[in-house]
Amino acid sequence: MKLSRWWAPAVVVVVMLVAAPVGQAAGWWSTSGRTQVVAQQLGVDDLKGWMTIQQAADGLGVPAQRLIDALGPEASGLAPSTAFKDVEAKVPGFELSSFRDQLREALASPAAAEPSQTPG
Amino acid sequence: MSVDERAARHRPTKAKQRKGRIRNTLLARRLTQLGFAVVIIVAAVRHQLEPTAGTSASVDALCPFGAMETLVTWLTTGTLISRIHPSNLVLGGALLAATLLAGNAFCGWICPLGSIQDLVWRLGRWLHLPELRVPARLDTQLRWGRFAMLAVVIWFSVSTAKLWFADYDPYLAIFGLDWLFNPGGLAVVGIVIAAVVLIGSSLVNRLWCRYLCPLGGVLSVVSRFSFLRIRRNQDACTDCTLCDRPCPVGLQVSTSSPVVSADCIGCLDCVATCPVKGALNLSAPAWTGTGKVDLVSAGSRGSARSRRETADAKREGRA
Repeated sequence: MKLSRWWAPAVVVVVMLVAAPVGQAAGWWSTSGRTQVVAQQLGVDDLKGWMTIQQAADGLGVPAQRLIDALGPEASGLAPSTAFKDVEAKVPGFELSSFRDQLREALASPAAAEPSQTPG
Repeated sequence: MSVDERAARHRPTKAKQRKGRIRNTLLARRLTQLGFAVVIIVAAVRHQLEPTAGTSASVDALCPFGAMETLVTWLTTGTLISRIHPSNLVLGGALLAATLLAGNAFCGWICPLGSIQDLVWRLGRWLHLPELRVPARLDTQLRWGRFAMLAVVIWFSVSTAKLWFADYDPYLAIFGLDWLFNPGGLAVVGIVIAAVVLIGSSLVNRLWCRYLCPLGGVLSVVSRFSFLRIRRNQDACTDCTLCDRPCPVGLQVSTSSPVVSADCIGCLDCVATCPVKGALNLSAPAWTGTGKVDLVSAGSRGSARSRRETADAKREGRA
């Protein structure tokens, strides 16, 4: 049995092409880690870079302005619709992991008990 | 003139058959590369223009190397590093399976970064830029750079638990299309690396693949265990070295004994170029029995006919 040279690329191309549909059928395929944010159901450790400040505020059950304040004075002009991943470019030195620690301490104060003020 | 004589006159010569083989192989490869590059570019445009964040896949979610970057974290903690998704694991697993089965054809036929390097290389020849030949000894040493890069990427991916390589990855810098849609959010280091890779690839074919690609490092290890590999029949080979010339990653195919280097990217240019039938083949290991027939069909080493065909092919190459 002599093998045609086309076998190698054909096998690799077919396997790569069917990987996505097979992964989808098996329920393994997901191209995003984004999930629905449920109000007041998030912990500080659940904050992700794709979340906006407003989504995080809703999930944590605190006003968005409180999170903006926690980001520091450089963040005072940020809109609640800003995603954390974009905050990195706008607030020098911002890192989500250290912000979580900072926020954990900030939310431990009594002001955290204020209700969320979601616009609209 | 009889029908047989007429048919014989119109039958392509060996040289024409060989030229056709080279042309068809190259055409098939270019079309496949183009197809996959278009898929990635369309995904990047959709991701950049999506009205609601997270509705379409980013180009990093479609890269099988993401699976290698998160593998250690996934195995030790059961979680994925940030910006890596289950799609990366599916594609990474599929790539490893395909490579074990049929060798590393991903780099030669699918990888968009490889495709753009091929394009830049062609552009360099069109512009008559000099072709830099890396001395063999230095070339061998530089190829370890892929493993050094792999170790660095995995180390920082594990220690930072995020897609550390994203800021330096030329694939993301080029195909993420931030340079087109979001120039303000560009990772400057990534763009500089991408520019160096592209300029370098116009002087040294597939510069990134040869010396720096961490995924190439993984695949070169995995492809050592591939079922199908390009094998050189030393009895049939006339040592003409024609197969060395088209190799994009500069392998000495003519000295393979018998399996072509694990650094092979499976482009098949060497197989299509070989003028001697049966000297260079895609085949399974000898224990499967497929190698036996190749030896028989190839005939004896350097037969008069093989030497004549090789000389003709070399003359044509010069012309």
